[in-house]
Amino acid sequence: MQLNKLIIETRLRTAWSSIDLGFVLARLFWVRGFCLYIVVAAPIFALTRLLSDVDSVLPFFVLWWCKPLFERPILFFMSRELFSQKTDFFQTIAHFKSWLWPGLVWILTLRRISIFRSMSAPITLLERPQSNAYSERASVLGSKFSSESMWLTIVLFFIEGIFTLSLLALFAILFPQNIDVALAWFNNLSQNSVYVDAASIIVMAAVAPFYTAAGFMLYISRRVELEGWDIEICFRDWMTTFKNQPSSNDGGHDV
Amino acid sequence: MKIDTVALIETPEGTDLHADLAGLLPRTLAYIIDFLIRVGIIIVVWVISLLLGGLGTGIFLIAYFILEWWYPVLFEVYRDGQTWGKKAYKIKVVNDDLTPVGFGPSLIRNLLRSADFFPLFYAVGILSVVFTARFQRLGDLAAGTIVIYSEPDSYDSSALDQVEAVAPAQLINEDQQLAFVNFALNRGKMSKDRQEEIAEIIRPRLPLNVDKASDYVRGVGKWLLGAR
Repeated sequence: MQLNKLIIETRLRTAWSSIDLGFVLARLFWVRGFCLYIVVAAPIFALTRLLSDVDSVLPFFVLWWCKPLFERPILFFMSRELFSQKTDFFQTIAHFKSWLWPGLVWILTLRRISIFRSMSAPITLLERPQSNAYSERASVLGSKFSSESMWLTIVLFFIEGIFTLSLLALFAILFPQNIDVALAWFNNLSQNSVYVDAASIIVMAAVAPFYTAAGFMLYISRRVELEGWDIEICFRDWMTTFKNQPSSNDGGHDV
Repeated sequence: MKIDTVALIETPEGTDLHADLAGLLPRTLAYIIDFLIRVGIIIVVWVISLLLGGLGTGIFLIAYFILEWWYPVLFEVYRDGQTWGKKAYKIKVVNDDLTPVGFGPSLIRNLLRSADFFPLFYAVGILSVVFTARFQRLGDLAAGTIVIYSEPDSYDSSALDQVEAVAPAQLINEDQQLAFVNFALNRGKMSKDRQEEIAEIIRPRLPLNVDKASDYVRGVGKWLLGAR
């Protein structure tokens, strides 16, 4: 780990400020994150359509349940970009073995139901601890920021709902028929679940980079604090400038 | 330039002012608190107005108008940029040069809530906060205001009780001072080994008679915090 390659300013942050930083990161990498999410979610979407010939909420539930899987390529490329390691869309796809398999069963079962999952996802993907070491690691990292990571999940959950409804409304209004069609269509959402699911996937993909990056930055902020990254970076920079200009005074040993 | 969430203002005097910008999450939650407070008040006023009959309806409508349009403005102007919700999340509204927000900008940013609300549940406002560089909704952009964190993080100095303050023998810049202080406070509760490892990095700059680098760095940190 080369801390001097970090693309973010490392300083001690509050949990809210870490989430804000995650949002800035997500804004920078939003297009790539959105596309990767769609690419991973599309096959599952198609699968849910094949499996269920009746309209029900089951396909939606399956998609919703698989969210941690769809978020993984985003987390993967962001974790590399964070250390200035350029990883574009195709490189991320090519590295699928690095983000698809590790802990896959865990994130789709027990760890799926955690409301703090954005913050613990990097532990599963990047640290890959044994299952007994995981819970200790998650509590060490998550203990301090747990309330904020919970609110992150709750607020973004509702924002997804708001935007899904907005997107459906927009879709319905833009239809060439009159408003009655749109209203009737809204009253029969359960018969139109394929559209609802498609709209949901698009909105999930739009929100996911923010959720993933914010959780990742919560995780990184805790590591900065626990391991003193901010201090180490400052001291190393200092020594680099010191070595570059050794003649500025007598040569040192005098803080 | 590293990625950060800071609003940096260069003044003509040559000093830099900076503040941490507050983003979507704390702002949304602060709004929800304010919303619940307003709903609570309006329910009380409504009950009273029922008892007063015709006059009561008038009072209710006036109270509703004031709460809807003036609650945030009055708080922002007379309570240092903070409504109760913002106070709960330690954020406040300021002009984008970090001066306290005045009546005009506050009125503009709050009247434009209706634009941010469009088409429903602040969808436009959310997009605007998320995608503008300084987390501004449309009202903020029009009024030239930003929302920042109002207080620096408080710290616990109990880790320093046993430490002896040491005066540094040479000038060190602001970033380095911060690193010394953070090292001394040890907020992350780093292990002894890790502390030693980090302190050893600057060994070439330490006085020759220093035995344990971590003790020395911690002492300087305490000195910088004001201990002598």
